[in-house]
Amino acid sequence: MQHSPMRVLVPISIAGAIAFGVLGDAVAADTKVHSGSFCVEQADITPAIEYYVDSSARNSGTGYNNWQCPVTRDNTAGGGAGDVTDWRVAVHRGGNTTDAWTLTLYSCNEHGTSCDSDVQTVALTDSGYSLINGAAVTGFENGGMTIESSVPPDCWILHYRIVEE
Amino acid sequence: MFGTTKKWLRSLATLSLAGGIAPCILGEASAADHKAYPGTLCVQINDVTPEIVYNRLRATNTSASDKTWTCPAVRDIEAGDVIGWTATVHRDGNTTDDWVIFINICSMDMSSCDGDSITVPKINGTQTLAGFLDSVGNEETYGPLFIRSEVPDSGRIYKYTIGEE
Repeated sequence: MQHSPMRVLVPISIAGAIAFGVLGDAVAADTKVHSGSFCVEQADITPAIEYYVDSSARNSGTGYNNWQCPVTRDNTAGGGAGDVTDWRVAVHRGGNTTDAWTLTLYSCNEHGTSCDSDVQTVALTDSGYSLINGAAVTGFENGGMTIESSVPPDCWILHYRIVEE
Repeated sequence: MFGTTKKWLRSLATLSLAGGIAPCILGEASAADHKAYPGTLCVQINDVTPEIVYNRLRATNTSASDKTWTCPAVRDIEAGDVIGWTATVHRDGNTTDDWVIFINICSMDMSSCDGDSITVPKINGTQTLAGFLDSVGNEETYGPLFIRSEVPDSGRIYKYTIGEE
């Protein structure tokens, strides 16, 4: 019995295509953990942001200060879609359990003039280490991405991570 | 008719090869990860009026004494284990102070860290030094990855690289 070359090649083709799809997706998902010391204080040439040996950052000022925590985006995640499916920030309130605190992930166009975003709140009862869970943010996959926060005094960002798919 | 079949077969063969090879290529590209960071990402710790000075690529300790810096990195969780790291540093006059550079990969709550260190020889000039981090305990914990060092006066960090696989 003789197999036609087409009968052999077609299954290989299909298997190859399926493998491409499955493996491509699996390896393209991207989780990046950033140290807190990537964060900088916004619009201040005498910043009160203080960095620590574990690469975390603390607001050493007496009032709120605006921080930008830049995100390294992977535009090849998900074959180029690059949607954020999850983001998390490890924070520490120090002794401050009274001041409201929110964190916002922005996914923006190239100029930062138009963005999609997700806002999360750090509970007032938090003290010590806690992990804030973000939600999906889609759109503007070719622009920049940042976590922005008005950080209360004596509060820290330890590290943050972004999952793209 | 025969010519058309041949073209068909050729297309199928190409598809088969592409389907088979593409996942391998994509898998390799995404799984192994080697990132280089400029020294300008380093920050001085515990000081809101730091004496770290930035120039193209490099950071210099302009203080008259040793200062501790932390240099953040982006962990690529899908890449997995840290397999190697390097630091390109420069001694400019101070050939007496000990200079050790540490790398740490920590658990998510920062309660435990794995680490490695390299010692900078006491000679003037630029040197690239390599180390290996066995991150068996913390590679899957979504904690941060960073370098820290007590940099002698006039010491510089030009670059650091971290390979994950």
